[in-house]
This record gives sequence, C-alpha cells and structure tokens, in this order.
Amino acid sequence: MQYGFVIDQTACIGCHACTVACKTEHDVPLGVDRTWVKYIETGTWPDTKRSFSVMRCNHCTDAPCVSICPTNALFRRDDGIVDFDTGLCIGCKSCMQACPYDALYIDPHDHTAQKCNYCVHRVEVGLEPACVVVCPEGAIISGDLDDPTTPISQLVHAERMLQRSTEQGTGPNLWYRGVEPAGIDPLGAVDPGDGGIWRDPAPSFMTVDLTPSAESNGKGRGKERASAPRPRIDAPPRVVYNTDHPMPWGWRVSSYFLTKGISAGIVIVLALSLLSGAGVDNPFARWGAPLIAGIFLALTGVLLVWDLKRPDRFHYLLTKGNPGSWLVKGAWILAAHAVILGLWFLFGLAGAGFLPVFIWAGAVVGLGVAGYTAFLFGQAEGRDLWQSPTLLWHMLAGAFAVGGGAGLLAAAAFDLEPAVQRTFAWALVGGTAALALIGVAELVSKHPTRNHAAAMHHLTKGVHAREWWLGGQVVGVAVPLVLGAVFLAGAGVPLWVAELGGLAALVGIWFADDAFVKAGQAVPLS
Amino acid sequence: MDSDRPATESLPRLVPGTGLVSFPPTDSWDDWEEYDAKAWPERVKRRYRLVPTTCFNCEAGCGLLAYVDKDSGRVRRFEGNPEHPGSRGRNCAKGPATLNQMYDPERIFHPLRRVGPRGGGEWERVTWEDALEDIASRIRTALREDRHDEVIYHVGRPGEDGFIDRILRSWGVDGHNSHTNICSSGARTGYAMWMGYDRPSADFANARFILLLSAQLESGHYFNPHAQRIIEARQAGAQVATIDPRLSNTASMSDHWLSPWPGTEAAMLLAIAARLIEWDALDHEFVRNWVNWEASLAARAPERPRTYESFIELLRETYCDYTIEFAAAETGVDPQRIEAVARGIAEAGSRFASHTWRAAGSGNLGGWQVARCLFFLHVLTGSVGTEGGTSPSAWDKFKPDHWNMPPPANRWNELIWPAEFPLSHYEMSYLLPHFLKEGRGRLEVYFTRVYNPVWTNPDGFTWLEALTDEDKVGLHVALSPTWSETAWFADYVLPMGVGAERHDTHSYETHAARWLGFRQPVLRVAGERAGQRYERTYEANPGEVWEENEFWIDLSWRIDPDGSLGVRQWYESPEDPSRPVSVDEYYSWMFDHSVPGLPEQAGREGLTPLEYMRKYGAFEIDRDRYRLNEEVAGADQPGVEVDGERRSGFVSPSRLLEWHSETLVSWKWADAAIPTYIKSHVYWRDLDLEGDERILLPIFRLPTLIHTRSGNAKYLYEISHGHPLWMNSIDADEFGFSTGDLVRITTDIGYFVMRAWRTEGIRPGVVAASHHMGRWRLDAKMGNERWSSALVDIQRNNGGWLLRHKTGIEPFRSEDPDSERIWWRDPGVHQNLAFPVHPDPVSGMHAWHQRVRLGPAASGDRYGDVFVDTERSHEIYREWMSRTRPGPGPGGLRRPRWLTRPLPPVPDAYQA
Repeated sequence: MQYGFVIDQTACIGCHACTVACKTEHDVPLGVDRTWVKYIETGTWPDTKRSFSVMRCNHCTDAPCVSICPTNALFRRDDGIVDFDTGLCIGCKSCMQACPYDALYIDPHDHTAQKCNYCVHRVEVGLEPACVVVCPEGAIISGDLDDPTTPISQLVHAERMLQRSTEQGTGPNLWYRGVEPAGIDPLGAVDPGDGGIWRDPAPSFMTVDLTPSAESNGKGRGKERASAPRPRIDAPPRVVYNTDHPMPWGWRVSSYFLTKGISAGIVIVLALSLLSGAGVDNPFARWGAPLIAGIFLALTGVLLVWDLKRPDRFHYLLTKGNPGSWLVKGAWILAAHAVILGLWFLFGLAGAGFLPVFIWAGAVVGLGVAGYTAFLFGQAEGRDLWQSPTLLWHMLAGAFAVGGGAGLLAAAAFDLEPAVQRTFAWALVGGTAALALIGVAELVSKHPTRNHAAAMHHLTKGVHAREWWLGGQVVGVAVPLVLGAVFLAGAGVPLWVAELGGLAALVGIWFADDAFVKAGQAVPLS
Repeated sequence: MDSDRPATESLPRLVPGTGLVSFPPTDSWDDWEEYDAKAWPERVKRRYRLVPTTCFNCEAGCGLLAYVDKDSGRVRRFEGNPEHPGSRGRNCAKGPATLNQMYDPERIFHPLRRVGPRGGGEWERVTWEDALEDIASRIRTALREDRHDEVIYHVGRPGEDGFIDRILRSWGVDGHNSHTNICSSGARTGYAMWMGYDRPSADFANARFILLLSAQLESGHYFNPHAQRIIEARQAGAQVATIDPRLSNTASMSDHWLSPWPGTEAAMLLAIAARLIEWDALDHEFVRNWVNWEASLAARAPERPRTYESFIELLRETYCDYTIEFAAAETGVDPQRIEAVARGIAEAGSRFASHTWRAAGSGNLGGWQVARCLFFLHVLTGSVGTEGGTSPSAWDKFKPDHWNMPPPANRWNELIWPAEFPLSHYEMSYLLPHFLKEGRGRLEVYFTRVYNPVWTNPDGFTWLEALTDEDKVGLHVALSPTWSETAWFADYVLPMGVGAERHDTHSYETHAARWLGFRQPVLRVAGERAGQRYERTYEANPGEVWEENEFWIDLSWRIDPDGSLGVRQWYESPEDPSRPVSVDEYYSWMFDHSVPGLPEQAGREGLTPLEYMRKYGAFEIDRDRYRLNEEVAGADQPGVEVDGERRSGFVSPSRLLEWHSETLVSWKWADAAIPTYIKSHVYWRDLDLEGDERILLPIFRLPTLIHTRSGNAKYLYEISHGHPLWMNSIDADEFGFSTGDLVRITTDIGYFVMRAWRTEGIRPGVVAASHHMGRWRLDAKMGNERWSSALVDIQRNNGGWLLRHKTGIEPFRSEDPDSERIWWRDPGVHQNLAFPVHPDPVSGMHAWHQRVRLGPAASGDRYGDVFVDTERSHEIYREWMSRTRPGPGPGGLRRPRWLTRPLPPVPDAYQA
C-alpha cells in the first residue's frame, strides 16, 4: 500500500489554487508553503513558453527525512504517507538538509518542521487531500499506487512520467505527467532572483530599494541607444516564479565544527604525545586538557542547542531518540566524551592515577566526536557536497589541525614540555597538510552529481570562493602549515611562531567550514 | 507513535480500503465529523455543519462549501460545492481564500461616519439606526423635491441579478451605474450588433478548436468554470489558440500563441474570415437561413441581384484586401500562425468555440469591432448555438423573477446615459466626475457598492476632486466589507458582508446549461440549522456587518415610513404588512414561483424550494441548450420567418444575425455598419517606435487576484504582490534597462515610476503591468488593507497631483499573528491615476491601452511616484468627447429600443 500523487502538467494551469487550499486546510503561516507552483520560461519571443510544476513532498519510499530525524518526529506510515508529529520535533532542521525536494520548512508559529502530509487527517476518513479537491483541472491525482485498480496506478503504468531528483535514490512517490523537464530540475533553469513575474525580488537582487528613500539611481541609458544590431539575449530556461528556501544551517553549525574539533583534537594529540614519552603528571594533562576540551565541548553543546528551533526539547535527543539518526548517535558520542572529560578532570585534580586510561579513552571517543559529523552530513541526502567520501578524513584532519593549534596556544600558559609542544605542532602540520591533500583530491576528482558540481562551483568559484580560498586555504591551511613546519624544522624557533600558526588554523578552518556548510546549501533543490 | 496519547475511537471511512472521495456525501452535511488538521497526529475530532454558498471574488460565481465548526461557530475552511453545475466542486485560489477575507483583522466591523472635511481622515462610530435614518431622509427629500437623478447607485461586482433593480425601480430613479464601461463594453457592443445578445456562451467542453482573445485559464469571465472545460476539450484533442500581445498563462497552455500589435486583432480576424470565404469553409445553410443577407445586399449593393450567392460574392469582395500577408504585416504575427488558426477553425466547423471579454475589446479605440469580427467567424462556420460552438449568453443564463416587482421608472438620467453615447454598453460611469465638473448636475446621495472608482477607474485624481467637492456630491455612502481608496472619501462607510455573509442569486453562461446559484450567509444558515432564530443576518455575522439585501429593504422602508411616497408598498411583508419583508419570504417567493423544476425537485426530497436551495446552494434548470434560434415561435411571440417557419431567432432588430447593421447607419455610424477593422488610438505605425514611444497594456489580470478586492486575502497577496513593468529584452536593450531599474512612464496627463522586468513574454514595442497592484492608504493604520497597500502622501504642486509612497507594505500587529509575518514589501504602482479617460464613441468603452514614453527615472523620482495634471486630463476628455456623434437618433430616441440596458425605464423615457 502506497499513497502517491500524479501531477498532470498537461492540465495544470498554474493557478495556485492548490497552494491556497493547502494553506487554509492546515492554517499554514505566511512565509512557508507545503505545496507551491513553480513557473519557468523557455525560448524567445514569439516562441516563448511558460511551464508550471507543482512542488511538494514526494512521500519517498526511502525517505531520507525519516532516517535523519533524530526524534522520530517524521515517520513513514503503513500506507506510505510520510507524516510528522510536531510534538516530537526539536527543530534541528536536519530533515531540511536530508530532503532533496525542499519539502520541509520550520513553521514560524510552533517552530517545528512541517510539510505536506498528504492531508492524512482527511485520508483517514476517506477524503482526498485538499489540493486534489480544489484543483480546477483535476490535475492532481491521488490514490494507492500499489492497487492496480486505482486510476493513479493505471496512469503510472500506462505512461512514462518523470520524477524529481531520482538520482538521490529516495524512491519518490510523486510522478509528473507531461512536465517540462527543466521545470522539475532544480538546476534546469537559471533563477535570476529578480522576483520574476509577480513576487518581490530577493533582497540580494534588488537594484530598486522598494522602501521610499530610494530615489532614481540614474540607471538606464535613455536616449543613448545602441545603434548596432539588436542583441538577442541567449535565453536559457529561467525561473519566473518560485518560493524562497532560506538556508537551514548557518554560522552556529560552522562554529560547532570548530568547537568540537578542538575538544576532540586536543585530547587525541595529547594521547599521541604519550607515545613519544610525555608524562601525565603535569597540570595540563591532569586538569588543563580536560578543562579546555570540556569548555569547547560545552560550547559545542550550547551551539547545537542554540541552533534548535525548539531548544526546550533538546533532551528528546536522548529520551526519544531515533537510533538510526547520526544526530542521536552524535549526541551519545558527545555525551560519552563529556563523561570521560569529567572523570578525567576530577581524577586529575586528585592526582595522576589512571590518567592514561582517561586520555586514551578520550582520544578514541574524540575520533568519534570529530568524525561522526561526516556520517550525519552523509545522511543529508539533499546536499551532495556533503556526501563526499573524503568528508570523514577531512573532519579528522581538521580535528588534528585545530587540536594541534589549540594545544600550542595552551602551551605557554601550561609551560608544556617541548616534546608535547612538538607533538601539537606535528598535529598542526599533519592536519593542515592532510586538509590540503584532501582539498586537492576534491578539486581534481570528478563530481558525482550536478548538484555536487554546482556546490563545488559555489565553494571554489562562486559566492563562497573568497571565504574558502582566502580564509580557508590561505589562512587556515597554508599559513599554519608553513609556520608549523618552520617551528619544527629549526631548533630555537620561538614558540610564538607555532602559536601564530595555530591561531591561523583556528580562524581559517572556521572560514573553510563555514564556506563548506553554506556552499552545500546554496544549490537549489526546487 | 506516542503511547501517552488519549486512545480515541477512529472515525469511519467513507469508502472501504484505500479509496478516496472528494466530498462528504450531502446527507452528512448537517453533521460531519473529521479529524482536526492542526492537532494531527493526535486524532482530535471536529464536528461541522457544511453550508453551501457562492464565491464573491470574480464574476464566475463558483460554488463554495463552508465548514462551520459546531463548537467554535467559526468557519474552518471553504471548499468547492460539488452540487454547483458551473464549478462542479472545484475552485481557483480565490475560492478557499474567502476564509482570509472573512477573518481579515483589517475589515470594518461597525458603521463609520466622517468627522471634519470629507477625505480628512477623521471618523466616528455610529449606529446603523443613525446612518440609515440620515441616508433615508436625504433620499426622501430628493424624491419629494423631484430630484430623482441625484440619487445614484454605483456598483462594482454586482454578483446578483435583479435585486438592486427592484430597489431602484421602487424609488422611481434611473440611478443604476455600473462598472461595465471600464470592463466589457467593447466586447458587448460587438456581440450585440450581431445578435442583440451582448455576451458569448462558448461550449468549450465540446469544441474541437478554441480561439481565445481573453485569458480564461487565469481570469476573466468565467475563469474556473471555463478553464475546466477548455482543458477538458484540450485533453480530448481540441486545439487552443490565444491571441494576446503578452504571454499569459492561457497563451502558454495554448497550441498557438499569436502575439500581435495591440489593436490590430480585428485585421487578423478578418483575414481569417477572408480565408474561410476563400476556402468556401462556410456553413451555407446556416448563413443563408440566419444572416440578414437580403437586407445587407439591399443596403450595401442594391444594384446586385438579391441572391444568396451575390451576398457571398459581396462578402468576398468586401474582405478581399484582408489577405494573410496583409494581416501578418499589420499585426506583426507570423503568417503561418494565422493560417494555422484559420485552418483549425475551418476544420472544426460547427465545433468552434471562442471568447473575448476585455483584452483587445477594452484596450482600444474601436475595440468593439474585435468581438464583432470574432463572432463573424462563428457566423461563417455556422458555429452559433451548436454543440461545441458559441451561443448567445442568454441561452445559458437563467434570470428568475423577483417578488412584487415595481414598474420601471419614468425617467432618463443623463448623468449616466448622456446624449453623446446613444449606443453605449452601458452607463458612462467613469465620465461622472467630468460631467460634474462641467456642471451637468450634482448628486444628493451617491452609493459606491464594492466599487472603488478612485483607484480602479482612469483619472482617479479627477474622481478625488469630485468626491471632495461637497457641493457636487452631497452624501457619499460606501458599502464595502473593507476600506478602499474610494471609501476614504465617503461620508458613511457601511460594513457589508463578504460572499459568505449575504444573500443573492445569480446565474452565468458557464457552459451549455442554465443554473441558478444561491449565495447565503453561512453563519446564519448554520445557526438556524442548530435551532437559532435570527431576524436579520447581521445577528449572525461578525461585528455589525450587514447584508446588503436587508440594508436596502430597511433603507427603503425608512425612506417612506408612512407609505406616502409609494415606496413602502413594495417592501411590506406578505404575511404582515406592518413589517418589512424578510429575506426568507423574498427568496421563498422566487423559488416557489419562478424557477422551473425546482419546486418539483425539492418536493421529491421532501423539502420546500427554499430549503432545497439552502441545502444545495444551486439548481440546474436544464442543459444541452443548442440551436434555440430554430425554435418555432408562436404567433404572439417575437420571431422571424426562416425556411418557411416562424422561428424565434435572435434578439437583433431583424431577429437575424446582422452583418450589416442598419442601427449603426441610422445612428450616424454608417462607416462602421459591418465588421471592420478600426485603427486603434495606440496604432503602432503612428508611434515613434524608433524613439521612446511604446504601447502600455495596463489591464492584464493574475490568476490569484481580483481587481481591488483581494487585498484582504493574505494568502493571495503572498503569492502575488510584485508589480514589474514587463519589457521585451529587445526594448530593454534599446533603452539600456536591466531588470529592477526604475522607469518613468509618461502618459498624456502625467507619469508614474515603476521597475523594469526584462522578459521574453511580451511583444517588443509593447510594455505591460498588471492592473491589480498599487493600492494605497493615507493613514498609517486605516483606510486600506495593510496586507496590500502603501502608506502614501498626496500633494498638489507644480500644477498637478503627486502621489508618493511613504512606506511600502510592512508587517503590523493584529489579532492574526500572520500580520507580523508579512515578508513582501512591494505595494506596486497606481498606474490608473495617470490614464486619461478614453471613451470609445460607439461602445462608450474606456480604451485602456496607453501611448507612453519610456525613459529612465528622473533625478528625484522615487519608486511608486505618480504625477497627474487633472486640467490636462479634462482636456483629453474633451478631445475624446469631440469624436462622439450624439443622439437623439431616428424617432427622437435617446437610444435604440432594442439595445439592452440595465434598469430600462418605461418606453416613453427613451424619447429625448
């Protein structure tokens, strides 16, 4: 049993009745939509064509929003409908990263993730969804795809129809009949961001400030005409109507990369220093390192909870957790890290007993702290940039680099012995060198999808390129690599050279991660 | 799922298994139970009464079904009414948005009276009692003093048939003023000159070829019902062609888009006609029987033999210059496209359906000939009144009788029906302020009812000047659910119900059937079903919101409390003459006495006719009405001899289809006596296209909005609010405009400042802006809907008026939390202010298209600025008035008697 939709774009007239019927049915606030109509135009006058495509949840058989949801707020019913329970949602927005269809939004009223739920409250009494009933053209067809007697399943079997983003392997249960392919391909039409046919331009676009202080900017050449032959614009498919989908994750998530990297990395590197014979009976190993790691772990927690739209429910991660979600696994890993750091700190205050056990346990869990995010981002099926197999190595290398950097900055205060200083410096150099290698590998490797290619473009050539190259690669990788190497190479090179390198790594890698987080989300999904 | 949820018994499914249906069955409408959408997945049950009513947003009158929550008494949502024959349970975006309009925190809940000067913005709350008494006494005095012409009712969306006519008749005034001349007069005149009927009824569902000069897939008469049937036909293999300079959604969904120079459409249609004649793709039997060919020959070629063949020869010669090549050169459309349309029409034969309503007909001088040339194609192919063809509107529209109808007035109001426009369709409403300015009269009581001339009509500043002149307008009463630019210049603003808060009946030619819809106040009906008793609808409506029917009844009663003026007699309850008639009594009479088949159908269900209409909201009288012209007419009935039999024919003077109109000849328009191509006032060859002149199309509509009446629907405005000036990339490059640049658009009387949108969706040389946007208010908190209006400042300086935005649309605090979530800012530009009046001398239609000059905004210009010199606009008015050929016509008549007009007075009143 599988409810699904066919949207007949040969009948749809782009009237937006479905949008409004849905909004009144579910009392959907302004600013967000469970279903909407996208318009694109193709061709040049007089052969221009405007095409419509109705966008919404695809009720996927293998719904990535359900897999990633940490609290089972999103769930797939026996009848195939992907439903949600606002009472369980913590507002982490991970579902918005996992969905390759832009189907979810955070409700501005109760701050939980919501989407089309196939009007399941109606379906349970035998009524069609509100959008199906209102459609003047009967262009939205609902029903059981698994029942061969239903009109929808007969239609799906009789005709070849298109689906959105099939390469994501989500098993969408929404089919488009007679759709202009560019209309359902998020990268099939350029979106000039100018608001198009009858919406406000996006704020980033506006050359006209619609607030009244805007006076003429004198643009427009007026009488100065081009006497040359009239240039025809090359007119690729372009978006003339769509809805906005702001980035779910911003600086808090980028910052969490850094804070947890420091928390994990400083412990891992300290553990490595033990191999080179460093002792543990010093203030840094006894309580300094767990204190620093603990503070950054606490900051990590603060950032994560702060980023929740329902921070009051953060404990649902542990009490109502979906064990398949890497958000939940991550929460347990972070919790374990906290316990180890806490015990280490208490034991350390008391003396030096058992410290290597805590340090090594912390290092092992620290690898999880540093690395689990790669698996979490891997569950974000909508963001192909984040699916990269190198992400785990990137996260670990980053932890080494920022752990090394943070350790170096602590070195003077704790008067660390040179062997330990050098271990942190080696971590800084090794981590940044690995980051550089991974970066090169990413740049030269083939992009698995167009979404990935587009994100890489945003990252390395587009809006985030400055942040990525200057902040991330120069300040975050090259500078620490060189300064760390100088420190290690020459005897008598003052510590501040390495400290400067460590500081550059902390700052620069934040920029790199921020660019990475944002570029992944900069690719349109609808 | 959570285990701590209360276990509840599941509701039963309507159908077994996984099946789904569209609507709860009608027998469950009184007690329908379903789960609450917001509480889901908790299974919270809600009980509803489902009450049918009718949408009031556009003219289509689609059925709605209100879900009235039994516990809260609030309407939870509006869906379609599956029992409605026109809309068949489906709606456009504006149907469900009725909910926004009903629970709009910005609506007016109490009667208001202005304090201080009119338009000064000071208001006080008054009782309905005081308001009614004051207005009634003014009207009473006017009637007593024989100043009947000073009482005028001006309506925007009528939404009903006949009720207001009855009121005005009972007062003895010729005071019905409609919006028709800024809307559809052009097309109406074109159709009327053929057949007397002034509208088409296209049988789209059964057509093989559909030609649209309107945008039925997104707007117009009748958007949702027509769009359903056009797409139905297309899915069944019909071809659709759309003629529109702009790429409408309709054009996008068509097989052929023809994008001509505005105003040249008639040339294209005549070329198609010439092609049909050339191919002999004519239905000769139909033409021979039903066209006034003998009279046409007699008038136009008396020397020729009086044979059908010589008539066809005359047609061929008359249109021989209209070759496809000529049409292509004149319209700028690829000849193959025109040829393809001609071919499609020829092949469709009697299954050719078409429609035009506004568009070219309302944009151009001579636009009325566009509809006439379009209908010519039906006449030639015999697709008049056929299955899949196009019928006269009246065949598919049902007008019930009204209870106790007073006789027509014995007056002719020249402020509405001036001598200059003896053929106008209809009232010259938009010229009213110019007539007042010229001293043609004054108004004692002026009602604007869901009408907003200051904003909607051309030349709004002249309206503003007239309305603020208390000598010219004694009392202005605005009847409206919401504020509007016009209501701000009223003396009373009286809150009236939205579509779901009022009674009326209506019927439209949506397809080849006749139906009657019943609009009803859903909260009142739901309350009555629950056992509540109401005297008046306002007892059930929110606040002190009245329904208009009861307003008019009570007002009429108060005009003549003792019956001495002869008004009260028309309102005395048949049960108890000491009290006014109730709406139940009124509609009981109508449904009992004048709707064929309804009493029988109701009886079969054990209901009274009124109960039946309250339950179902609509009734289909009959369907598949074709070839009614062939019906045999009785000796005492009007008819025409055809094929040896007296048949009912059409309602033209000859009762035939009139290619040559003797009426036009005798009313001084011999040069337009047959379907011809009249060059528009925006004819492209007259323009300085090498320079900065362009044609502006200011009247296109969006699928989501309706004139100025959807600014109170947040969900609609959220979807569409931006107001760019569409400009082809070729023009944009020539002027050096990028999307978003400010453009100053200069008209004959002023200018306005918009932002450019570079697009491939419009013909080069033509620019366009939707007519919905640009709403404004003068007060920060009231005076218009804050969902949709700019706060503006209006000043007189530099010999004119300047409107300037102070703020765009901004979030505001209200009982609806969504008002703080408003994210759009663009209120649009009130372009209509800068348009002078352009009355077509024949139809009276305001020719909307404008010859404009484009340029970059001048230094100091701001987005949204509108500047107008009203002295100049009066000069333009005079220029256009000089094109008229005033009556009286033959027999000293003010207007041909056969030509329809609203609220026709007694025949004697036609004598000048």
